[in-house]
Amino acid sequence: MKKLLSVVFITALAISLSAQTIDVMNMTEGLKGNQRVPAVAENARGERVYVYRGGDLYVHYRYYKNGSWGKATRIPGSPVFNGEFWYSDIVADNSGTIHYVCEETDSHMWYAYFKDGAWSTMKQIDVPHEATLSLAVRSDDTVVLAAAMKTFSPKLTKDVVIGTKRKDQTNFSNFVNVTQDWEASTMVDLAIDAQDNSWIVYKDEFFKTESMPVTLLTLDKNHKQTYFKNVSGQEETRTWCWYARVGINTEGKVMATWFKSQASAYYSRCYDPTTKSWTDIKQIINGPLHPWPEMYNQVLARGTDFYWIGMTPDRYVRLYKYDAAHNSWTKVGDVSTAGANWFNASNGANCILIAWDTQSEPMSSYLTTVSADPYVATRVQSVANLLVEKRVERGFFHGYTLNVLTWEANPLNVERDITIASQRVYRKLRTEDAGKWALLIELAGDVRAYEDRNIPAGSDYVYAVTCIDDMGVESAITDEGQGASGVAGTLERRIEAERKDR
Amino acid sequence: MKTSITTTITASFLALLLIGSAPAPAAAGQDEAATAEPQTQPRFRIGAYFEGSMLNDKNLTDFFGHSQRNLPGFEASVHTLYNIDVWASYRIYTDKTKTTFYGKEDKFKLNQASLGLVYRPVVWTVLEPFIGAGIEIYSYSEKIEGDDLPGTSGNAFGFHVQGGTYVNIFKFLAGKVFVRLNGVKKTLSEALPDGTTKLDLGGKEFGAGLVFRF
Repeated sequence: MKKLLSVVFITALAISLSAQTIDVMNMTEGLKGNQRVPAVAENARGERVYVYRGGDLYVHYRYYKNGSWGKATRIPGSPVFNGEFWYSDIVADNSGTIHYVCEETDSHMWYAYFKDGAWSTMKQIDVPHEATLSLAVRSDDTVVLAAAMKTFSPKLTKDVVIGTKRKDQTNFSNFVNVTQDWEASTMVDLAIDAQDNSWIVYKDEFFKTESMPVTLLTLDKNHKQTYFKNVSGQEETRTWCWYARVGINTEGKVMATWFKSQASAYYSRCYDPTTKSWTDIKQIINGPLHPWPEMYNQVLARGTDFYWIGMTPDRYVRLYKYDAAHNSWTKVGDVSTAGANWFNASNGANCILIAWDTQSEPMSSYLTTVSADPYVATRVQSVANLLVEKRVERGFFHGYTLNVLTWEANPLNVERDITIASQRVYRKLRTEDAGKWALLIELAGDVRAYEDRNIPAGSDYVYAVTCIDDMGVESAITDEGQGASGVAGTLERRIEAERKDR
Repeated sequence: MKTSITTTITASFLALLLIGSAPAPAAAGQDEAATAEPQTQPRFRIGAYFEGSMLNDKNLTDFFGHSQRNLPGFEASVHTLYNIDVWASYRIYTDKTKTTFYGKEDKFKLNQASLGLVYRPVVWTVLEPFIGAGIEIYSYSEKIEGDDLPGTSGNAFGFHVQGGTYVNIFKFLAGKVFVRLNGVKKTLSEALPDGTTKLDLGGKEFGAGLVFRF
């Protein structure tokens, strides 16, 4: 019995240690009700912005810096969102700017960005709008907005459009209709892969059959379609799929999720572009019976992991983690402490951030943080063409061996206009594991060479040089400069050369 | 700027031949007198010479890039008995190069002092051949620009044997040609960068000079 209790205790301890910590905070505490549709984002500096529509119908925000939240403040230029205000999205770009879009359903979208502690004036986006929108950022900090556009003439159609906002622009433009069909394409979501391709999922609709499958299409940077797939496979069965969502992990795998109304359940399907293979469709959980925002769900890619956030039948927001080996989802925990109306999730460096509001009045907006393995989306790349030459510096009586490192700026960093604030040189023995990298020195961003002096003559080191951008984000060690096994530029060769000089 | 051994030897001998071919004052009769009456020989000799010096240590000569250095030297001797002189000499061997990677200036200096006996078995009118042997007292140093690599200094001791001849030109002036072999080895307490602990500062010297005798 004692032994059994010990096993139970140890097991419980292990579970509690491995569990992800969930903290909930009321972000609109003390305010009157109707605090709705929150969204939250964290940039690579660790600054967070929590945005929501206040009870006064204006958009408000709270700013988190150095470990504390500022008071609620109205975003300048915010119009009164008097009608249905259902959707918003927020994303931090690679330079630390946070971009926010919200909508007036069946009217227009509005955009503002938060930079250096201040918001731009909120501006209307010049494209007619239906419902749902999604933001994502390319490696060059171009922000892409995918949204559903409704037109009434000559007849009612709904299409998916995407527009872009380059780093030097202040609003979205160049909208392109990427569906352009005579039917209804709406409820769009967007993710961007490492090659800056846009992966768009949306609810397609075939009026004659009343079938609404989930469709995924891929566009390159020039909006040229490179892939198209009916993900849910429900074209002819009068099955309605809603709220298609998409995420891409750092392995390039694509996760699509959706709600199927007839089954009142959420489903997922994962695509591997490398093998061009899809998993089977997997039911995640049952969802609420009532349609509309309660069917909302979200995929969050974090490193190689996928998280999914959705509402349970009793409208609690719940977080799940994908188990790729078994094509299944494991519950992480309940995010909301009450029935919810809306949520929006994003990645923080050490946690998943989920903003949500309560279903019943007085509606309040909350922030739930779920601890997770450290993760920072990285676009800065390590240096290119790192070369290592072993050399000897000596007089006659004394000398030492040194490795001479030279490298070039990574063209991707140049292309993406990334400011390299500094560079770090790492070293390890060739036979050591990757975890053994030791920091040698931090250099200025424009340095292209380093000499590792006084190393043992017979040493066999390998090196890596990472770049740190002006946000403090460090590139990954992806390539090693291999130390030369012999002594380059031997004494004999140098003496011979000098003899010729004389 | 290299001077080969052959060139130096040839130049030395040509110079001495030219000098030696000049008529010496009161040469006639002096030959016999000098042999018969060694006490009439000058007691002191002070001279300067120019020599080619080759160190045995291939490591060192390879590093500095010269197998031979030409350098001046000074000597003095005093006659004792039976055509035997106590002889001393001093010269400085220097070389320089650049460090292997950073190219900093690297100067090597070897102070060479010799002390020994010279025996002149025959004293002719013009020529006074000699042989000799003695000890070598060296001090060496290396100085490198900057403070990246430390300087080094040390001492070494050994012996020499030598041979040659004086060529009497005037009463108070003689020419001299010589060859000297030195044996000076040192075991270093700290190994060289290539792992070597032996330093061989011995070598060969050959040269010619002028000696004042009185």
